[in-house]
Amino acid sequence: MQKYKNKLYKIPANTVFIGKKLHYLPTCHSTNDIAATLIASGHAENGMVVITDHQTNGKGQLGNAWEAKPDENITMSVILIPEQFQARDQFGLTLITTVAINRIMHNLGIDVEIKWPNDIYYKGKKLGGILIANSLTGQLLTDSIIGIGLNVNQESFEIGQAVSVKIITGRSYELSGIVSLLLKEIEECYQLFKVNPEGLKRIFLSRLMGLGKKGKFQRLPSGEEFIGVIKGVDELGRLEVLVNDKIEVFNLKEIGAKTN
Amino acid sequence: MKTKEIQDLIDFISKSGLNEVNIETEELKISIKRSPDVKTTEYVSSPAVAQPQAPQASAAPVQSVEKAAEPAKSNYIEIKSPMIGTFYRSSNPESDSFVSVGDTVEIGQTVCIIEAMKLFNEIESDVSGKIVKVLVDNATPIEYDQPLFLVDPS
Repeated sequence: MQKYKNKLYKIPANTVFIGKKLHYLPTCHSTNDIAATLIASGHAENGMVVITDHQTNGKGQLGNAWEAKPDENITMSVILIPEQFQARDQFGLTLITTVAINRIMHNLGIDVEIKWPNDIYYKGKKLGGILIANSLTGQLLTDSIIGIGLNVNQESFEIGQAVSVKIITGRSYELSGIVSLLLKEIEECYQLFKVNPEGLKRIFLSRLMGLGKKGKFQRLPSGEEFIGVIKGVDELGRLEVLVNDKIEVFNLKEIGAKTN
Repeated sequence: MKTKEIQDLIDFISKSGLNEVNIETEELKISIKRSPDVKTTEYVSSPAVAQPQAPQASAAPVQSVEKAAEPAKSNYIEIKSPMIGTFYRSSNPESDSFVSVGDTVEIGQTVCIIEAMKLFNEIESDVSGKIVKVLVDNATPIEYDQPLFLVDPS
């Protein structure tokens, strides 16, 4: 067992369906890609988790690299194959995942923020990210791959804007324990979303970076600067900003933050 | 992995609450399953009785962009966008388009990706036929129900 000690297939799943089936690889390019292959070949099941100790070609959004040292961080994908999930409800997947990660971090004594729409930050540095890929047929979501990257025990990063749990608390963690809790939280948040999406959204908003604070933004692509206050997100996940006593709704590519 | 290790692994799984573990390494591929000793709870969505749910949608101004449907010039079928977002013809800038004019598509075949709020959606065709026209440029914003492709089903 020595060779596989502390490896990530040893995950107690105290859940009903998330993570009851585990697809473990010591190393792989991207757990999201493996998950997609499992779905395409008919081998995936609702709640199945693909996890690796070493992701060599992790993806951030639109092909940005996701850097994670082997055996030190959590890189995994959760496969959802829901029966009746409307395409228009898909921001719920972001709510479920970001809130679940938030709760885990809160339990570890770390108060993280959600940077709209889906990044996990601690004091201006990125602690984790998610990358969700869905398949839609008509108005229904047929499957979803929720890729999660969480920096846990890594002590240094080549990019300056990243941080790990260990850097924050000074302690090392057993990854399987955190994954186990995370799977449980994801399942609970999933159930909460089913019965009370507004309640889940309220938790999301309570952790949303910049909520209620006056900030400098710019309109994209024009670059026009303005002062506004983030008031929330709408049902599609778009950012609601109070500008000159009026709520404006912004898509991802329509707004940028001005930090200077 | 030695027999002992496999035995340990089976012991672990029997206690862990996992139902199935697949492990793939260079030297081995192992799949361990156990039949659940408890009946699994199926999540059944409650019947569509009028639920006392907050009418959350009513407050938000629903902007359903109703476009006057053009009179059908032919028997072509449109593949429409199920959502607001950004339209991509391929999974990343380096790869080929999922489909091009002249291609035959089947039901369930991925035809494009629509991104919204960093959620990436592969759109599967709900019709089969030949792509006659791609109605939207790559990397442009699209609205709900906007026609994306024109398909000749014959």
